[in-house]
Amino acid sequence: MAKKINTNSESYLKMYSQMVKIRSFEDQANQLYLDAKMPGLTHMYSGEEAVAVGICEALTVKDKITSTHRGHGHCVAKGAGLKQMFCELLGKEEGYCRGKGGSMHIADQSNGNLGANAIVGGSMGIATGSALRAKLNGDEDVTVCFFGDGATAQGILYEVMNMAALWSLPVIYACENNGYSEYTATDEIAAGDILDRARAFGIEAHKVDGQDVLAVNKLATDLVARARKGEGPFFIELITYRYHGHHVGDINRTYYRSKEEEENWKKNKDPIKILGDWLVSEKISSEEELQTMRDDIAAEANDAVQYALKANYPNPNEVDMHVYLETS
Amino acid sequence: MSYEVKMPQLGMNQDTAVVVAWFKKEGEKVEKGDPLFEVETDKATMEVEAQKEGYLSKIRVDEGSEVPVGHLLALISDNNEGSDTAQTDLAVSDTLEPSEPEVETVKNKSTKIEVRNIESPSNKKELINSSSSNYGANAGDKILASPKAKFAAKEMGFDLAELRNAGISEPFHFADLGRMPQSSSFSSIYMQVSAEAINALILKSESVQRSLLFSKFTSSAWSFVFEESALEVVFKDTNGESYLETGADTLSSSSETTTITLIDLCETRLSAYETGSNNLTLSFSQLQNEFTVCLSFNEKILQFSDAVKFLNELGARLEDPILQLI
Amino acid sequence: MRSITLSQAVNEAIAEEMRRDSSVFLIGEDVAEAGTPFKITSGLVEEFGTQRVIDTPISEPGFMGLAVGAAITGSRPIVDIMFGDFLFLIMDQLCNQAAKAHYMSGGKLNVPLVVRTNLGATRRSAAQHSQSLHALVSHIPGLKVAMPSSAYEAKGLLKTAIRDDNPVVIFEDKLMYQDKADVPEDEYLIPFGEAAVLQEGNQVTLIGTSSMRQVCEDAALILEDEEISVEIIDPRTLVPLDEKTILNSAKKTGRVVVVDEGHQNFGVTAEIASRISEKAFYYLDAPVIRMGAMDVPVPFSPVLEDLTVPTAEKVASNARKIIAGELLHEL
Repeated sequence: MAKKINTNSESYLKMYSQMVKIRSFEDQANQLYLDAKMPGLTHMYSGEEAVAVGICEALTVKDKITSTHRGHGHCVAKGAGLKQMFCELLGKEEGYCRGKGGSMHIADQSNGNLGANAIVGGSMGIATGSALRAKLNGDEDVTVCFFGDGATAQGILYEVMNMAALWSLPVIYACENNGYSEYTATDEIAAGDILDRARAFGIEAHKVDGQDVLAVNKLATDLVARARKGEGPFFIELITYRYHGHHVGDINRTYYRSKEEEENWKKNKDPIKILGDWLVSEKISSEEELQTMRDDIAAEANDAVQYALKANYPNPNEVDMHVYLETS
Repeated sequence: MSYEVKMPQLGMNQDTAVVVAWFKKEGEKVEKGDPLFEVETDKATMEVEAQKEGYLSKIRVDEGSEVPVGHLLALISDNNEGSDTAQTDLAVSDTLEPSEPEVETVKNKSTKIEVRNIESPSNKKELINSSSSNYGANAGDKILASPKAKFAAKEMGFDLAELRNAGISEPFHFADLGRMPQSSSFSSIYMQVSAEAINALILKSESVQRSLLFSKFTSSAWSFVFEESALEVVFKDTNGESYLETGADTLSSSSETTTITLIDLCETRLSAYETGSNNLTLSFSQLQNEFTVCLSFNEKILQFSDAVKFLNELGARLEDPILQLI
Repeated sequence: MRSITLSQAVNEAIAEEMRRDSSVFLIGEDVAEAGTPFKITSGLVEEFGTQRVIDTPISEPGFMGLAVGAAITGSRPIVDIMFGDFLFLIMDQLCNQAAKAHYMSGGKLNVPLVVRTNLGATRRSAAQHSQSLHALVSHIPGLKVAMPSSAYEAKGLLKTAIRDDNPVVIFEDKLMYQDKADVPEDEYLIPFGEAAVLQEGNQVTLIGTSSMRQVCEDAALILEDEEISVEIIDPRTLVPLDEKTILNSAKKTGRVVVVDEGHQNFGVTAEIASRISEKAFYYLDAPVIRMGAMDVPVPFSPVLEDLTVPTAEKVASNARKIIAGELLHEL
């Protein structure tokens, strides 16, 4: 992932395969849940793939991201491996966090993923702090803070945007607006305009179609480069949609959104299909190649799940390890 | 190949659900996403969609049944070959567990909440009321003392009840142990008798030992005075070691048997050994053909008058061994 | 040896550690030119610049979160929380994020930060500026808690805190900032998890944290006039707690009074007393007595406020009673 991609075609195909990877991962995770094989809860990213991939493809491995409770997409997009991710979701020893974090706290530090967070808005301070460190040390990395439209209701967002703007920190606030804050429509929980919130602090804010990975990537590439030069912070609102419920058990959801709406997004605004159609029409790839890619990735995901299901749980004596870091 | 349709996990605290209705019949074609069956939990009723395209085969669970999460409900087959194939497939999957046991345990631990019917107090026996008269009825009998005092009393073999009897107020502290009234009930009586008869006996026969004679005379004297009671003799030598008579078994623990400790100081320059132990103790020494016998006893256990009778009887036998034979 | 104030000791500790390690920086409200309202950090911004002594807006959750993010990615921030009462504002970032990041990541993420805040009533600052909340953070696995009781401990413990790779909360007594103590000129650190036996005795042990150390020392003077032999222990850190020293003293004297300025109910005295009861039970010749602040919000009126904190007279009185075997509660 560290090597720079030379041709645009390669980068487009990379984006396609990353999105398919996320979709396959989520499909398997969802099945694990329905089969009652996965402990606890998880939150599906299906439908939002272009947001994570479009942005992360504009970042290097040294750049940092913070994630949310809906964090599998960010984790894959920032370079994580599926086996270790499934192991973490199942609480196995080989998971990214040795089984101690689970879906909502998955962190992949070597790839710059500072962690998913179960507290809504819990990562905003951390992302901004990472950017503060970069500025203080003269490091060149940029931090992207992912959060949802629901999180714009948390006060800490305004505290950190204020400080980021005061000190010109290299942080990009990426608001994944999927139209719903848990089981409530966004317009019932967010007064005014989301972009205006950032603009109130003098932060340059952009809105983009979150289902168009190329548009997301173009915007992100531009803003990341400017942030690296010290022109940050920036705010992006990405309009997207989550196909599943708020969490895997949120199956009966017609009381807060209609099946027609869900079908419409799935049929007409699917980010994988949108890029796929474009790749075929631009003759960068063919339908057969793309199908092969999807099949291969689905098989990879299946293998990863089977591996994780058979993998070992952590040794019981690990339960009280890592509370403190002890250095002699 | 058949796809297994299982009861899904539909809510955090849900372990079972009721299959309310099937939307497809056995043998019917289903598309992925078609509503397949309806499920009712304690929270809501919801439709579950088919996850795979195919033919619904072998519905295993009737409408109205309550089944656990993960339970196999039906199969979706690739082809509609009728029940024979379905039966074979079923035979295979019958042996499968609905889910991996260890994971199930983990899941149950994290999500299971037991719903119990909590009886209202009125149809149960009365809840214990700490102010009601019976509660804690025996607490007043407890001797109240600090942990340190209790521990030390136990180590030293003291009975804290004696402090209470002595009128010292509770709770007892460590310093109160110094006020144990042990000395007041311990007494000793001295006796001097002629050693002539015993010494003559010993001279006549080499196998006769003085300590054995004393032991026998003491037990007989006791039995003579206290008809119902037996006396067991324990010797104590000048090293402080205790031992039983040779030939005797372990000490009997019968409450009818009293134990006496005999200490022979005749080979020493010492005259007597008085002790404040709860055990009866008898020491004897010799000077110029006279024995000095000292009986130490606890007046709470052996009354003064009885002690006198006993010692007198012993003295009589020592002076006139013939009495032993009668 | 020279004698300096607690405020100067804290200032020295921060300055020395910032000179020693360039990743250490100070962040908080009015910490730069103003040097904080208590004038503790005066002079630091002149030496280290505004990049390392950072004034923030009044955004406790925000800048606490910033400190967590900076710490996770390689810095060593010292966060100044102006009044201990404001801990409530930062609890999510401190207890949900900082305390748990190392564990939840399976040991991959580290949070080497220090929260410097204060405790202590009787300053007439009323209920929301007078709380002693160290029990709250001691309860959270993943945090360490230090309680300096004089200028000497303040410097030594703060230096250790800054070098510790875990999140540490250190509480200074706001009433003591101008109190002096002997502080060596040469560098020294006080390790965590080591209590100090301030004086030895054999009839009763007084355990006093932070501000209550002085109260215990004053109580000991009263008792010594009555020929009572008093042992005094200062735990110095609550997490980790030096249980061994405390238990050894309890076993020696058999009588303990634990004094702390947090509320008496559900607090630090309860924890220490119950450990003594559990692990030194058979040596106790008296119940372990807890003395904390009264369980009321701190009142404003001086007459009322002064009633709510343990005093040397009250401590001495309790010690006297348990030595005499008097009952403090109904049988």
